[in-house]
Amino acid sequence: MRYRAATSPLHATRASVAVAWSAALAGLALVFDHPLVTAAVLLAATAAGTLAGVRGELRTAARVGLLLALMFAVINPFVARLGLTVLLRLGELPPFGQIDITLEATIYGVVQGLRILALVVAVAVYFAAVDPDRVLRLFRRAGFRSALTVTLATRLVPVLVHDGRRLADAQRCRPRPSGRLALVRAVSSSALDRAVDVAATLELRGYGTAWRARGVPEPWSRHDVAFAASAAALAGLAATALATGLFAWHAYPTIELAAGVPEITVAAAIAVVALLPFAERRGVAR
Amino acid sequence: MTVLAFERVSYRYPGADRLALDDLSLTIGEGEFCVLAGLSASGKSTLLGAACGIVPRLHGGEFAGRVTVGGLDTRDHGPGAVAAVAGVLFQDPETQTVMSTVRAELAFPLENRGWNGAAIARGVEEAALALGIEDLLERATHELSGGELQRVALGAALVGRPRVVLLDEPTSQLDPVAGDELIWLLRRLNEEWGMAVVLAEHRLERCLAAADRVIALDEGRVVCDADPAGFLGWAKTYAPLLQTPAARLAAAVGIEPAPVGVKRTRAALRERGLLPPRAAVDGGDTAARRPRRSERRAASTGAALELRGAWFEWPDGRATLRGVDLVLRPGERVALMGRNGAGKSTLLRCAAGLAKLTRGRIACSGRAALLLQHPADYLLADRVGDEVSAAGLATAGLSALADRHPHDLSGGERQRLALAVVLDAPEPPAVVLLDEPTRGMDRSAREELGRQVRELAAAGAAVLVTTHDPELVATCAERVLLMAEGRLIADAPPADVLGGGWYFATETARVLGGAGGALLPEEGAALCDVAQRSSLAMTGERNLNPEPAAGAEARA
Amino acid sequence: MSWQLASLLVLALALGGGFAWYERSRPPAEMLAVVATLAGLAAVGRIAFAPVPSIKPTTDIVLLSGFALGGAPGFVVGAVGALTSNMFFGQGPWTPWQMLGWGLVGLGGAALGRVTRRRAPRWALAIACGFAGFAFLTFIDASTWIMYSGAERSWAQFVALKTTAAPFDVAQVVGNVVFALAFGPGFVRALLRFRTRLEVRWSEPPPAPVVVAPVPSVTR
Repeated sequence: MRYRAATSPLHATRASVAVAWSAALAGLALVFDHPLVTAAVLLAATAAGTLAGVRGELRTAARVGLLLALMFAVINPFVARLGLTVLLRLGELPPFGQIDITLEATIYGVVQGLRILALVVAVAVYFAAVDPDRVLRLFRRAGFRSALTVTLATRLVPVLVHDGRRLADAQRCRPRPSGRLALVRAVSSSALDRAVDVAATLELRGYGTAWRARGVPEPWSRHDVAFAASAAALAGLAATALATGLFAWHAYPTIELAAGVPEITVAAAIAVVALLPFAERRGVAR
Repeated sequence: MTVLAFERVSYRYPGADRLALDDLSLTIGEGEFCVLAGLSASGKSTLLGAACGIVPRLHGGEFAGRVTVGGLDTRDHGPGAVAAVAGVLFQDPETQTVMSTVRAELAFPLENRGWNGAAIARGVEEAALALGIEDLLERATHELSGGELQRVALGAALVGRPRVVLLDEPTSQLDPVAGDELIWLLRRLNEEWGMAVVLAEHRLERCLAAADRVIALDEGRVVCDADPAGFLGWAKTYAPLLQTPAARLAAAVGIEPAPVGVKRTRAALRERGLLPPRAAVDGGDTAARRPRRSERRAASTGAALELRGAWFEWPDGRATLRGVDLVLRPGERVALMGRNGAGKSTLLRCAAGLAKLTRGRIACSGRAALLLQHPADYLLADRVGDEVSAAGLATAGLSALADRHPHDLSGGERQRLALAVVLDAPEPPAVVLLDEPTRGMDRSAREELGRQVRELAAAGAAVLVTTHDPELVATCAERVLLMAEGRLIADAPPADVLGGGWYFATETARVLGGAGGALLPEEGAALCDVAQRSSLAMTGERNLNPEPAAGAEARA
Repeated sequence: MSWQLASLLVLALALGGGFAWYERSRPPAEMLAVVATLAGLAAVGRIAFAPVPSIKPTTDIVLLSGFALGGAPGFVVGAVGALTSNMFFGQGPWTPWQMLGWGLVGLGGAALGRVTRRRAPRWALAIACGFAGFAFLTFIDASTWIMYSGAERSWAQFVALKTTAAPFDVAQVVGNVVFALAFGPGFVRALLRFRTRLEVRWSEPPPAPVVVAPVPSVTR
């Protein structure tokens, strides 16, 4: 779930468009809880991650997502009391009262769990395949000090880790070790020394003298256009579905879920539209 | 035309009892290549800090006088404005890059100065090509090596095309190859683009040949301001510790004034018929042999440290030790040389138990004391006296400083204290391991270290020192190991390795072409005397130097 | 659904507001450097103690940073610390919530610093850190509940969520308290030293008396 440079259409897309496309995909999972949409998003995100060459990152994310999903799937039947089809009567349980496991609550929990999984995977595609530096550059005009703080903090983490390791090694070389307390103190004070050096560098690079973040306008690549169109289409599909109440369903008191031709068509369209930009691989390398 | 002027500048750090700069006046002209010489704490760093306005803005303290950089007074203009006319490079590359990619790093100063997008793109391209870092532009800064980072930091300092560049020991954290590259780069910037350079550096032998002018500092005052030849003449009398080895050789055989650099020293010797014949490059026997079984058995008894078939492989597949066999005897002084990444540090870490061999065996007859590269890492207490026992402090000769804060010590004192810390145990160590102890040290600290190495060995410990510094090896080691790609490729006395070496050679050996295995100026001078006598004998009465005894006089 | 969108809106506004406050305070280079370093340190603390399950000093570092440096820097240390550490631990939909949660911890630290005039005893810091740890975890659980519990949201779900997480919560809060007891005052002292250092400025003594020392010198 960490950015990894690779050559793929998504990697080659400008940050603003990549953010919009990812937001559209994740937004679908957030807005609709119909299992068909959830399935479409899950399928699209998994395929997109594979096509973007970040499968390993997705797998890590999916593990975390599954854990969260499982938690909700297990908790829901114990706390929801609206279902009618009782599967199991557990009797009185002190904090919750009368517990009945119902079919509806179980199914609802599973559906919600899947939605969490889809959301986590969709967000993971974003974090794994969209360069955080380029995203940060988007924010620079609005808040360059904040953006610079983020960049600098990320830059300093490996430096501080290395410093800490060096200090720990030095302590291990002492015949009379000076204890963890002294080590943690030393790590934090050496970090503050680093801060002084970094401040000097910032001053020397002219921080705070003037600022006009005006980049060279970058011409739109074919991938920019494709992903922008895909994002717009996803948003359009979502808006249409919301307006027509297409994916409305409810689990309680009994499950009522429409899964006819229009639902299946739109869900399939979501997956196809999201994945179409990956078909073009010309010009993906820098 | 002046680019940098100091007018009667005095400065005291907060809480310090003496002045770091003491009524100092100085001007540097356009396009000058100026080297700042001086021992540690002589005021070189403070001078450069004051020149770019970091001192006193980021340090506090008392400041008097006036510093003008390219017409800007540092009183009225902050470091950001000054940096537009004066690029600055400090020692530590890690904290001099603040962005995540090299391209962003180079663009950052220009963005801060409000350049427009196209001008920034062009400036970055130009700077990258001029400094030869165009291949690094898209790389992430955190994955660059120290040498690469330092070049990127220099690029970021120079991208706005300042008129002068100020460098505070820029090579002290680098290995010598990367350090030399940086010096060559400066020379090119100076010659091709007329950029004035002010460079503080300990290893004067690396940069004197490029310099127009040398300014020596002592206790915050200018004590010498001359061209390199004039500086060497001055140093011979007033600051012997600042002499380069070639200059000491020239002085020892009586050449006045001392020529600057290896090439000119060699020419001067040849002119006077003092140059002994070059050593033949014959692939002499310096190989590290794998000992025979019987020898191994004999060696195992009484060895201070023994490695047999030592391998160290990382989980990701790299191997940094590849079957090293090594025996160190008690009282032996051994130097371990090789380029960065050759496996020197890994060998030391394995010997001290910080890392475990993945194959092979290691045996140490007692405790192994390891001093890593940054001595300050060992010092965590607020008081010197709390770091070591009173006896340890007395042995290190630091009893007088017991109440000071470890951070207030000089580099040499701090190292002595750190060494005392790792030696501070009831039983004396069987092996003492020092990892690049001379990095960033001036010559007085290096000589002090050589003395300590000899003392430790005399007390019965085997001492193993990794270093890039051939002069240190020549003065204190009796055996040199050369490492490459995790293997020992040479194991012989210093005269055989460094005398016949090309890259791993002392300056004296380079001047004399390795003749007679002479490594130190004094040994070289003796050889020259012999050469002169033999050439006199051959040519009859040709008397080139009426006083061959001048060398002997200088040595006394 | 509207709950989710509303909460996302609040989240975006709160994060944007915190960062805007930081921008408006126009931090000088020293402040920006120390905020970035502390955010990095918060991330490193999470990485360094990753093998020990219950000790996560991030909350402590953020709270103490806010305590010593003030509101806007404290908020940014927390928010950026969350973002940065997730670059090593894994980003996900939880990242913005953690950013806001730790940002608020930094604000809380700043409030404590203001109330006590930056002179709080060791035990008070420890209690504050423990409380902040609990509040942070509850905030994250609440965000999970709001985001994922679906249309049929109920308090019972939240209670159940909190109950399952209780053992982990207790361990973490104890870790926070222990860490603050051990390092809190020392850390604050180091930060305050840095802060006073920021305030040291150019002083103007009378020019030094002219002493022309008879130095041996070769002058051009």
